[in-house]
Amino acid sequence: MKRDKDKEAVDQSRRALLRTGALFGGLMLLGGGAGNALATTVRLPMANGERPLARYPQKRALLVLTSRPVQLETPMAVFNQGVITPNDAFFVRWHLANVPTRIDGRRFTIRIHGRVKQPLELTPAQLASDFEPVELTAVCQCSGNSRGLFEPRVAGGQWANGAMGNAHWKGVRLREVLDKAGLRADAVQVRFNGAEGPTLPQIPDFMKSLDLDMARSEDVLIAYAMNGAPLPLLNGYPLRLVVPGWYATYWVKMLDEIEVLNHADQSFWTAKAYRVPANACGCLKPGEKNVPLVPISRMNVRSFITSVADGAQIPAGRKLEVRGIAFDGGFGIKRVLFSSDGGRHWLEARLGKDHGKYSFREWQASFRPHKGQSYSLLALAINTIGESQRFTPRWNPTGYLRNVVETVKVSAV
Amino acid sequence: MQHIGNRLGYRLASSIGCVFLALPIPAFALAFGAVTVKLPPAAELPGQPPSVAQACGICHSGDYITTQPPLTQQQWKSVATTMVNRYGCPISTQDIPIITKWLVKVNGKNR
Ligand code: HEC
Repeated sequence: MKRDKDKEAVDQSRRALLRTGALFGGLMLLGGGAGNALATTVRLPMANGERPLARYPQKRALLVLTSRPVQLETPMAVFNQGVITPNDAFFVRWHLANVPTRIDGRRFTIRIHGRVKQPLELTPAQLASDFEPVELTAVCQCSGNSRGLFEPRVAGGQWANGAMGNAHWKGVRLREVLDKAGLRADAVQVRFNGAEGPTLPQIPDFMKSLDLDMARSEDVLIAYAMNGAPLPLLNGYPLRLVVPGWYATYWVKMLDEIEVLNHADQSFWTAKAYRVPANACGCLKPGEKNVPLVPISRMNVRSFITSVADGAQIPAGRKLEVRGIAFDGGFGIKRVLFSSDGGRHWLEARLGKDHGKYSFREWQASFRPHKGQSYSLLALAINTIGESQRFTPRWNPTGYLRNVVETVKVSAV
Repeated sequence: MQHIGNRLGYRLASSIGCVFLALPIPAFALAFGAVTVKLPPAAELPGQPPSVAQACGICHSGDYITTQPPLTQQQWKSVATTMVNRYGCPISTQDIPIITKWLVKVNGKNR
């Protein structure tokens, strides 16, 4: 009885969602403003792309990919409002449903153990007071950002382009904490574990490892602040690993354990998951088997147009400023090229303020649209070592590494 | 069986939140206070799940299924098999065809 009633309610609300999706879809993607308050769903450009727009604790209304574990996507309009992604708009991605919903930051500790001379246990306040504070701006992007745009489609979290954000992080160098504990001579990897846990014991706990060289590199931080405030709980309060330039899978949230290993980590999320084809492209053909895999690591170069949405109508007869963002895996953006004719002609975009090599870089370009014409707007970023975006999308069965030049189609009225 | 699934699944998924209270913390003091959040309810399993499919709600909410692209029978079967082999979904392999049938019904693609 009860089940049937529940089901009916669910079906009804699903139908309602689909209706609103059809009405407000597309528009809402870059819309913002008054429309956002009305819409309860956004339709992302993919089959089954309807997403409830809902508020989660410490968050403004975001696109709900999944409710448990919580996965929330940032609407693209946010990236047009400033180079920094506000904490309450920052995307959320957990792997396991047992995420603590209460964290007492005074009692919380991080334990450093394994192949060290002196195991440590530190509170966030001790970290903040006993080590030199370091600040940097860096993009945190999910490995599977844009997975929903893969063709043919692949299983996994069906994100559009909003599983990324750029924040100003403050914390301490991981290296200094490791040195305080004192590495033993046989240390080779460092494994990170957060308070997130599985709902059944047989599910592998979420842990990630870095080779010692990477773990000891200059900019890898244990962050305790994000944009000048403590991290939102859903972004890993009170401590999160920050691995600038690398995909977010390594940015372990609610970080409470660091274990120094004398062997390569064999645990599931490092050894089996988050792997990409071991070729220069990181891609393969649908159906191709037995391709050697390597762990995903540094982000590739990407750019987005943020000031106009796909399908938008733009005013004709006067110069239109087009704005967007670009970023890469830590070499820094050198150039952004803009095309209003689907890539036949390109012009150099003007780059905005440099917030460091790990940050979003804003850019601007302009063109004069003519009444009745349609335009395919493209942005192409190139980093300081000459890497650029691809013109043909790469494919892999896990939906990682997308960095194709995206097209925004608009018509002038 | 059905009730075990229910207890582990929906209860767990929806009781993850507790008291709603997100303490406002002054931006610069960086006092590491206590933060408690209450999450909105978890999405339920779609359609009319057979009782053995209640297991699919133990580790994640129903929107894991509905947000996937429509998949073929073969692909859904492989998802269900992956859940068992990779993550230890507690169903017997005999239940996979029943679950696959349900998955195809709620989010299938003909080919
Ligand atoms: C023991 C835990 C567990 C159970 C039970 C379980 N799953 Fe999963 N499922 C997972 C994990 C872990 C992931 C991947 C999470 C991630 O990468 O974020 C996942 C992911 C998925 C996905 C997303 C696609 C993908 O491959 O990542 C789908 C769809 C899915 N599960 C369906 C099911 C169905 C259907 C059932 C019931 C037969 C089920 N799950 C039961 C743990 C489980």
